[in-house]
Amino acid sequence: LIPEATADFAGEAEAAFRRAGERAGVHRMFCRLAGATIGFELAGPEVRAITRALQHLETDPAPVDLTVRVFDRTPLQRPPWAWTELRSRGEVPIADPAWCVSYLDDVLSLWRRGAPEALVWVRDVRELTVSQRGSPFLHLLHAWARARGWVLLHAAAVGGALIVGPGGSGKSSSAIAALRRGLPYLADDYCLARGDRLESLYCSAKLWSHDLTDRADFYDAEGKGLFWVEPARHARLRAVVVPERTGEARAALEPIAPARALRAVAPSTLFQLPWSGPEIVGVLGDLVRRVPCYRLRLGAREDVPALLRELA
Amino acid sequence: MAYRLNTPRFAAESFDHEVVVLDLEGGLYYSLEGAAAWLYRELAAGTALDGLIAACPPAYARQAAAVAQQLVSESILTATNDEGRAPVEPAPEATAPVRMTRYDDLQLLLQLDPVHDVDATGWPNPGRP
Repeated sequence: LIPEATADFAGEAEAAFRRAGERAGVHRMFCRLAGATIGFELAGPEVRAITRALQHLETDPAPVDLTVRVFDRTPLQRPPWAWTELRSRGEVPIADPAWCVSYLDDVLSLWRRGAPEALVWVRDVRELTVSQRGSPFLHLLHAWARARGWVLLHAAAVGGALIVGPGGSGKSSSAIAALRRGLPYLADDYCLARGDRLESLYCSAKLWSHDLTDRADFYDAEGKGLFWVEPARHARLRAVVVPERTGEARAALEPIAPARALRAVAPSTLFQLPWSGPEIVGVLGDLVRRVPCYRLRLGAREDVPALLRELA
Repeated sequence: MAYRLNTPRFAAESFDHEVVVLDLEGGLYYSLEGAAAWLYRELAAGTALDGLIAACPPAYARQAAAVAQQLVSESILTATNDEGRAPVEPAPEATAPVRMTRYDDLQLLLQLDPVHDVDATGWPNPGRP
């Protein structure tokens, strides 16, 4: 795809955002993340719901490093790519690698690396799933954070304990069990890392309905429940933890090699995020070498917080 | 014959006793342990395959050749025009494991086709409320 066609399409989408804003009004919200300020311009009152998971990052109005314009229920012109050109992870192949364009699950993200503005179009904010409400702007924030030297990880975090593994491995349930015991919860699914610094990205926690013991703030048709929480904002990385479901009575920690931890964090992070090249594997390799790595043998759930407390 | 890592499709990270390889397009990942890790490191750095197999203890030379063949057949390594250098690291001892494990449990993450998750009408339908 030629970059000019993408730039034209982005320009048309920007005009569509302005029309949506004139029609429904524009709400502004400012967030502090990865040492920078992001300003969100949200067209229409209902679009504000998409930023709920970023509420803990909200700050006073300030000069912004990135403006993200968000709108929904507004038709766009036909894009300069065909459906068949979309790659897995929603990545749109564009000749100029500076363009980060993705379309996945009715969310379109457009950003040119280094540009001070980005555009996010949603088909209908009211129809977002638990995952989308709990982890909004995932593709955009992944690309933007990487450009600032951070890496977005598919990982939970409790204090300095980074809990890694694919979906269903026990990240969320371990982190939420720790949250319920008052440990410093940063994330249940995604967080940012740079060197030994961890930063909370979303103030959400997600659980399948069969794991729920409390009433969730939002449910989706898939049976997932979403909670809004007050996470800790930052932590110093102290350990990488790989949960493993066992039928044992007691939970336990045992040391593992960093390569084993990399196998838990790298594939599940890179295979689900667009624009994930070999360079990120090196960053993750440095991360798992930095601190001790453990297998968390998941037994009784009530044991897990005490074990994580030792590492956090 | 000499080889190099097939980038950017594949990425590899080398640890003391293990090399982790990711297929960023195919959604597979691999673990190479013991002598297989040594074999990968040497091949990816440009060591000639014949010289490398000759340097292996007889106890695992055949297994090492099979690992090398799999690295090539799965496109992790791609041939170069170079003749290749001599091995740099000494071969691990004869009792070292030669283990290459292929994981496909996360392949579904890449095979999720976004096209199938949108309307059959294709691009957002202006008539939709």
